[in-house]
This record gives sequence, C-alpha cells and structure tokens, in this order.
Amino acid sequence: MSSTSQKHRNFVAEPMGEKPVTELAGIGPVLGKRLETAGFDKAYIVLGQYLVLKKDRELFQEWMKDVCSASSKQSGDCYQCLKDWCDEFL
Amino acid sequence: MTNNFTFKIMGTTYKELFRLYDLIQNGDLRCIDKFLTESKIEINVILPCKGIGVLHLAVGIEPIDKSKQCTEILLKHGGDPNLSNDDGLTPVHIAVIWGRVDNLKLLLGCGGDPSRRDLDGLSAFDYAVKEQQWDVFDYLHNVVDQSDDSGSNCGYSLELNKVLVTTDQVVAEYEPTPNELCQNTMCRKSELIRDWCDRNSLVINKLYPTIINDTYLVDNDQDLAKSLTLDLTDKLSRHTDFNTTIDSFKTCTTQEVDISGIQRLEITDEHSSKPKQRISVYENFSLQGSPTNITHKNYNSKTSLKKARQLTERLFEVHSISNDSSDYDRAQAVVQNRTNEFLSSWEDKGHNTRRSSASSGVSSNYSGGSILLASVHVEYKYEDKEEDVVLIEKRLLVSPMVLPVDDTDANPDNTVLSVASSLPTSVQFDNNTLRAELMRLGFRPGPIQDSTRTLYLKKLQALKKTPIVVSNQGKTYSIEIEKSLRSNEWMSNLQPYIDLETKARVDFANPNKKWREGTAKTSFTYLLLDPRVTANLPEKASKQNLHLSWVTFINSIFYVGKGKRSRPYSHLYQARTLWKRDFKTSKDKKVQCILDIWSEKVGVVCLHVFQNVIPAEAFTYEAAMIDVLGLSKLTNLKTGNYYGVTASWPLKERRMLGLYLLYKAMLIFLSEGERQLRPDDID
Repeated sequence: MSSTSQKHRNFVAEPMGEKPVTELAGIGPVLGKRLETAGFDKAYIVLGQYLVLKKDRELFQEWMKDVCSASSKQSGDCYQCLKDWCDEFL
Repeated sequence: MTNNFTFKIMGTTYKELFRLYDLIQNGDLRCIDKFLTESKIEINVILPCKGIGVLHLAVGIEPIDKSKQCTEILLKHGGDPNLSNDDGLTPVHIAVIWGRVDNLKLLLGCGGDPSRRDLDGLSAFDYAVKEQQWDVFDYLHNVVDQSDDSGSNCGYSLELNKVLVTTDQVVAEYEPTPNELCQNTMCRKSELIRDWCDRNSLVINKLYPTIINDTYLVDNDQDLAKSLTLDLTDKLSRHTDFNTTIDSFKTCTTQEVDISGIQRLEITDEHSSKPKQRISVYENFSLQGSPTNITHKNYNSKTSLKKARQLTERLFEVHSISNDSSDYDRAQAVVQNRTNEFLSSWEDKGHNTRRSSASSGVSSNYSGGSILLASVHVEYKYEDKEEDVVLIEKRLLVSPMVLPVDDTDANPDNTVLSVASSLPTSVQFDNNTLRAELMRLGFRPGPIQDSTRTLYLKKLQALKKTPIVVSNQGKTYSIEIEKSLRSNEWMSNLQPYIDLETKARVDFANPNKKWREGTAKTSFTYLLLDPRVTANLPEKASKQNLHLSWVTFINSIFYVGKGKRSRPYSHLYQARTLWKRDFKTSKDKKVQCILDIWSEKVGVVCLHVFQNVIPAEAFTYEAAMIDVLGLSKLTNLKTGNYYGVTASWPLKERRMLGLYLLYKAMLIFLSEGERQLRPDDID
C-alpha cells in the first residue's frame, strides 16, 4: 500500500463543498482546464460522474481518459481520491 | 393477547377461504378470478373440517371443463400443486384419482411431483393403477417417466416448413412445394436443403442485384450501378461456363433486363414510395424458385426519414468522440463514408423513403462491394399427434450462404473477415438495447446517458472480446469447469479425457451385463441452451477462438437431461402445455426458464448429443455433465446416477468425463448449427 499524496489527504479530510476540480488528487492545472472546458468545473460534478458510473474503476478511468486525456496514473489518483472521500462522507 | 390476535387473523383468512371454496364449488369462474385478484389471501392452506385445500377441490369438481379452468386460475394465482393434506394427498393425487389428464398436465407443468407418496405410501402412479385411470397412466409414463421405452415406435413427425434467407437488408421466405417434400427421411431433408441452396443460389442471387441497385440508387451513384450491371454480365458468362441449363440461363437474361431497367425503379421512386409499389417490383420476377415473401427489415415508409436522420446524428456523434479507440478507427471510415452519402443524397432529394435501406449501417458491400452474405434458416414443424403438440424447430445453418455479386472468387473465410472488420453493429444500439446487451454479458451498467454512452459502447466491445467468466450470481461451477474457463491449456492436451471416455464406453458396450432398461440403443442426452446467451454461437465460432466459444457455451446451458428417440422433444411438452394456457410462471425452474425464453420471442436451443446409446450410458453421461456443471448452475432438480464402471470412479474422474463430454457436445453444436424450438404461435 503506497502512501497517498498531501493533496489526496487534504481533499479527503473534509466535505468538498464548492471546491474546484483542481483540488482533486491527480488533477493539475492542465487537466483541470480541460475538464472545465468539458463542463466539469467543480469537484462535485466529477463526483457525480463517478457515482453515475457506479463507482466502477475501469469505467471511470476510461471516462477520464476520454474527457481530458488523463494518464492512468492521474485517473487512478483521482479515482482513489473520490473513493476515499465517498467512504468517509457518503 | 398475541394468541387472540393471531387467531383473529387466521379466522378472517379462513372465512375468505371458505367463501372461495363455495365459489369454486359453484363453478363461478368470473367471481373466483375477481376474488383472487382483489384479495391477496394465502390459498395454499388446508381448510379445517373440509380436510383439503382449494386447489384440491378445483381439480376434482364437475363438470370437467369448469374444473380445468378453475385449476388454471388457481395455479396462476400461486396454487401449490404439492400441498399435502392430513392424509398426504396432493392435488396431483386427486387429478390422477379422478382421471383428469388436462388438470394433471397443468399441475405437473407448475412443478407438481407425481412420485410423491401420500401417508398410505401410494404415489400418483399407484393411484392411476388402483383407480384404473389408464389415460393418466399413459400420460405419466410418456411425459414424466421417460425411462419407459416400450413405445419406441416413432411418436412424432417432422416436416419441412420453410426456408428463410436473411441478409442485412432483406428476408426472403421460401416455402417448399409439395413435390420437393416427397417422403424424405429426416437426415436427408437437411441434405435436401443444402442441395437446394446450391441449386438456388443462382436464383437467389438474381434477387440481390435489384436490392443492391436499390441501395446504390439511393446513394445516387450511377457509376456504381453501372459497374454492377457489368458485373452481372460477367456473371452471366460465368454461368454459361458452369453449364447451367438453358432454362435458368433464360431466366437470367430476363432478369438482366429488369436490372438494367434502373429508370424504372427510379420512376417508382419519384411517384411515391409506398411499400406496395415496391413489392410489385419484386413480383415482376416470376422466376422459378423465387421466394414467396420478401420483407425489408428496416422498411417503414412513415418514420424512416426521421430514423435515418437520427442515425446520421448518432453516427456523427460516435465519429467525433471515438478518436482514440482503436476499435472504432475502421468504423470511422465507414461512418464518414456513410454520413457523406447521407448528406449528399439529402440535398438531392427532399424526402425519399428509400434511404432507409441504406441506413442499415453495416452493409457487407463496404469492402469493395463484392459479396453479400446471407444466413439461411430452415424451419421444421414438429408434430406429435398423440400428445397434440406442435413445435416449430428453427435451424440456423452454420455456414452462411455467399451470394457473389461480382466475379471475384473469394473464399468464404475472407468474406467473414470483411464483414467483421466493418462497423460494429453495436454503434446503432439505442440505450435500452445497449443496456440489455451489457446485462446479457453479465455486466450491470449504471445510467446510460449521452455522457456515458460511448463508455458503455466501448465496454460492450471489450466484453465481447473477453467476457466476464464467472458471473456474480454467487453460483459457482465445479473446479474443473472453473479451471477450463480460465485458460485454454487443457484443450491442447485432451488425452487423459479421451482415455476416461473410452474406458466408460467400452464398459457400456459389454453385452453380457444387465443394464437398467435394457440394451436398446434408443437413448440420447440433451442439453437445453439459452439462445439469449448463445446468440447463434455456431455462426460466430469460426471468427473467434475456441476458448471464447467454450465460455459462452458453458454459460448458456441451463438443463441437462436424457431423452429417448421416439419423442425427442417431450421435455418441452410441459412448458408448452403451460404456454398454451397463458401461464407466465411456474414453480418448476426448468419450465420457468423455457417460458421466459419463449416470452422473449425466441426458441429454446435444444442440443441432442451422444445419440443411439443404451439408457444406462445416457444416464451416466447426463450425471457426469450435471456433476461437472454443478447443480446450482442448472435448473435440474437432482443429480444423476452412474452405471457400469463409472459408478466406482472418484468424483474427480467423473467430472473430467463430464467436462470432456461437454467439450464434445460443443463441437457437435458448432458443426450442427443452432436449432431453436418454440411453440407454433410465436413468430
């Protein structure tokens, strides 16, 4: 079990409220920009997509790849981040 | 306090039950039905004083037809045919004692158990003898206890019903003329069909140019139409080479005239494109052997325009999103092609219903416009006069019929590839179909919306390549099957399996032993497969690897049984009896499964394997296959019995035998083609 990034821990530590997408682990300025263009400007919208895909890792990563050309590392981080957040707050 | 309460509840239930009891006794059908629909009471209760349940009563009342209808209503409302009263009598017993064969059929179909004994130790069979109800006795022996081989004379007839030739766009229906049918035996009929295909592929061919012309007309591409006409002339000369009779040659020429009359088709086009006129075009071909009926699959004069537009939009969508998916790369080319065609033809003519025929998406003329693939279905009518059962058997021939449109001598394998490489049909799926397809493959998708659709399309493609092996229903196969599903190594070394089978077979061939039910070689083992899972596997099998076919095959099996030659489809009789009476549910898992399949308008796939063996051998094979699949995966009620040398084998070897038998069964299935059985009232 690898340790998680500081960004991950920050995100998972509290309710997401109105945080922008870039607060999600694995999503930097570039991906954040692309997501915003696609209409995903807030973290909770990405969460919505994550939930709509029934928390399925494979599908979610595929979606990340499609919508903002995320690498598997990036989408994996983002997935893990949302998953841990959900385990905590949902 | 609590006791009082319960008593009160029971009191009201009994009161209502007694009312129902009176209604049944009066034979007031409408009231009974209304009563049961309105008040949800538990009807599987033995009434005090009367000593029987309401179903017991319904089975035995006079007159007989009222009794039958009552029984039907009660069963539909969940009546339990195995409810025993204080003497251990069940409705099944009552039906036997009173000689109500029709009622008995319904009861057994709903899961009634004729071998259940009452407190005097008498089963339904015993009662049939005791009360001298020989009709009932015969029925029980013919349908329920299939071990009785006394009536081994042929109890059924099988007639060729019709032949269906299907391509992407057209279904042509052929009915046999009486002289073609003249008393051929069953096996020769299949040869007959093959002959017929060979003979008539020329005639059938002639129909396709028109249809293809049609498509091209829509695309407004004169060049192509011309080249096609040229092709035909080529073909014509080739036909002469083949020494076809002058007769057929002549028809070919007349055909030629019709085809080159492109203007004519266009005229019909411009006037109006009512389906009637369209058909009249085909009726012009008064060719020998032309089909009795041609249907255009996506022909619908009213909505086709709209449909075509939607489709274009959807195709565009796919085109724009699926940039990085390699699967869709090739598809894109087609899509682009197609959409361009759509658009260009759109601008030309305001509305033209013909376009619908182009909208079938993947047409096989993509790769050079050279070949049409037609799959051939043959329908037989199975009739058992004694039991008054009619079933339609649909056989899907394994090798598709290749209808060459130009003169390339492409071998069938190439054709198959060219089709497979074009646009996957799944692109056209609407959200519901897509969901259904995914579910069928054992995947449970979330909401399919615009934002998730492409993902699920990709998922579907991926699943088709590597299906989910173990479905998440909590049921598992035996270790042997699980292993075989994980990798295909075992297929390369079958020797240990073959050894086992030989050992078993040699033992059964020993005539000096006494076998259960004698040594008449009249038995076989059968598997019932779910066509919704197989999806015409034999046709796909040549394009995919054997292991994948194996996985699908194993997943599709839902029943293993033993049958005898005189009535090969008797295992479907029960389900059919219920089907005819509009039942949708049954307590018997096997019957339920068959009813489910039929209500989706498809036939049960029935695979008869290991024909002409002695009963003991068939029983053993059945048992081995049930063991290897695991009872929980099947709708079988109990495991089978082993005979001969296999009876002393350890479980592992028995399962290995079962695995190998299944493997052989699959090979038989793949070479024989799919046979779907359905009652005669489903089309």
